[in-house]
Amino acid sequence: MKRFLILVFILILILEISSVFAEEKNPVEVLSSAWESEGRINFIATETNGMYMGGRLNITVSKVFALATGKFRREYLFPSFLAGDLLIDDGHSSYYYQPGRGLLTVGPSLYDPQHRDIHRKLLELIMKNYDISGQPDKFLGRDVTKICISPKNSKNILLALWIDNQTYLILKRERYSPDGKLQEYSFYTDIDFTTIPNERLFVWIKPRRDFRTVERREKFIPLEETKRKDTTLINLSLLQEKGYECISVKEVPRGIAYHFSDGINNIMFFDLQNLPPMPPSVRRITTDGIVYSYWQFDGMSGFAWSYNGRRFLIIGVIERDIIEKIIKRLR
Amino acid sequence: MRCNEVKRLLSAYFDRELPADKSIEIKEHLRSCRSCAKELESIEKIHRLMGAFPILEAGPYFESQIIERIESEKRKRRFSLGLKLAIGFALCGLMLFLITLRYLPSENVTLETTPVLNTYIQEYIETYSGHIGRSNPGLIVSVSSLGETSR
Amino acid sequence: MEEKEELLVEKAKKGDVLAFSELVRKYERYVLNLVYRTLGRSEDAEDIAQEAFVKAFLNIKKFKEESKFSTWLSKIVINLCMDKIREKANREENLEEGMWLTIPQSSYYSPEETVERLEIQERIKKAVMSLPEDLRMVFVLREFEDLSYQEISEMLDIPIGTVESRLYRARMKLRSLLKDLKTLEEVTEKSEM
Repeated sequence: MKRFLILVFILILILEISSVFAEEKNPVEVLSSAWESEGRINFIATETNGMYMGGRLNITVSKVFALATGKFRREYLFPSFLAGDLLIDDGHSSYYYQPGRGLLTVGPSLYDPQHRDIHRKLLELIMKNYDISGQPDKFLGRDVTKICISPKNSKNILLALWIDNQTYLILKRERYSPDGKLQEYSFYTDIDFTTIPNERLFVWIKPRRDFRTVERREKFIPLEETKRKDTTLINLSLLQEKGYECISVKEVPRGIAYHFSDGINNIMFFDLQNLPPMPPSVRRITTDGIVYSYWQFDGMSGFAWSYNGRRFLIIGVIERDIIEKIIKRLR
Repeated sequence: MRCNEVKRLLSAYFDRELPADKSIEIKEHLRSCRSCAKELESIEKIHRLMGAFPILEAGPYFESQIIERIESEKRKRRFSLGLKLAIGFALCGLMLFLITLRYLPSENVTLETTPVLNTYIQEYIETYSGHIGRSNPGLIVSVSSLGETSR
Repeated sequence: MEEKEELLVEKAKKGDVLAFSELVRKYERYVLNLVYRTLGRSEDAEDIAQEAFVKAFLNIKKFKEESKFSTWLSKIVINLCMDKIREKANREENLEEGMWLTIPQSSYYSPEETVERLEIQERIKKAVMSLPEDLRMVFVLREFEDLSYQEISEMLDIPIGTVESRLYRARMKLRSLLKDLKTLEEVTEKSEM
């Protein structure tokens, strides 16, 4: 009898302890769930976005509607030159209508498979290159998990996400520069998870006013095809050493763009038929006999050079000496 | 003290830059004079409103860019010194040194763009939204508008 | 570990760029905003602020310990700004530019408040920028840097009486431009009701 009671006691103890651990959510799982739930939650909210560039803060405030079937609508409220602008993503295409400019820009949907692929790859790269930690927190009275993403062996947080425990919606996010300055943030307020937005909100209806249409065609080139044609650009080992991978290749005006990312930092590598005209204030630097143009603005660097009939342009957050090595290696 | 005299001194009174005796006089006057008290209020209000004046933040690479510019200035100066020494301390050598200093390119790096370059920069800025899968073209429009297109 | 300013300046005088960069970190926001408020342009405020720091480093041997480093630095910044003003005509700030907001990181405002605050900010900014340079310079140094009349007079090399009269005129001008404006506290109070 005694032994039986002791056994029961131990069992209860184990259950108690494991339930305590069950409260702590695994940060990687939380992040993955949040990633996967993009476009899979119904909600209506007000979204505020801020992005610092050039010492200046750009803000937008908009009303957003989302459907769990992968549809999205954004009505801009602020600033005044955006007020009245409308974005509708019906899962197949995106329509960005700017009544003030009489312009409609039609492009691919953010929920189409190619974009979802890129989205997924970014998560893989984050998990590969960065440390992910999580802790319980609260936002607007809701229980959330605050996920912090920082470089390995560094305490500096680059990306902080406040993920709703119940729906896995990212309620708030803050992106920081390597030296700890806030670069970008966004958050939702007045969130309504119960009302399901009407399907009509996600149907693009031509307005009565005059407007012109511009098509933003995004032509992705499958990576396997690119690998066959030109291995040097896709496998820039100097970038791979730093954890970057080429996650997409697409056609751009007058050339091809390779998107490299380490999950957080992005670099666009353009292989162009002609280099665009450079503004006069750009610096011209010579390395090992090759002259390249260089500018830096608020962390974003740009490099342009031509060699042996090929013309390259790089834009991103990357140190100049690495690019110089790449320039020399691409001979 | 008469009102128009007080009103002229209210700005300095607010800044506490008046000698003690004048301050006391004005304080007394303000107790009974509504119109001067209102003037002081408006100066106070302006002071409070300045609390809302926008504040700029330096970009993340502010310091490192300064260091780079300092280093390149040093290099330039070393170069000119070498030139001076090479040509000798003759007067024409000195003149050449001064002329060289004047015509060396300036290290001005600002974000002017040209329209085509701007489209490529926009491609880059759009990679930001890849993270969270939210589409905010309006934000990209307003950020991209910082690129002054030069002819 | 924060080194004392005198030590950093001493090192910088000997050519220690890293020590100087710590001084930069300390004063970067100050210099950036002084440039911004004096010139009224945001696009190249950072660039000009950098130029000022570079100038300061290259001339730091001339700095004498008797005066304050911040005063000496401010003079370099102001002189540079005056040069820029003389160099080219100031462009009008484009109305289409995005708005500005100082958001303390931990507090968030409702969208209605955000909009109202930003509009107030924009008006304040425009009003101050509409002041002629000589008045604006004095106003900025007094209202934002809390300098005494004596300090302002030293910094700009003008008599104290001029400082006083320019401040008076600046405030009178601003009063008429901003008299109907709500203060930010009033905005918050109203929405809390």
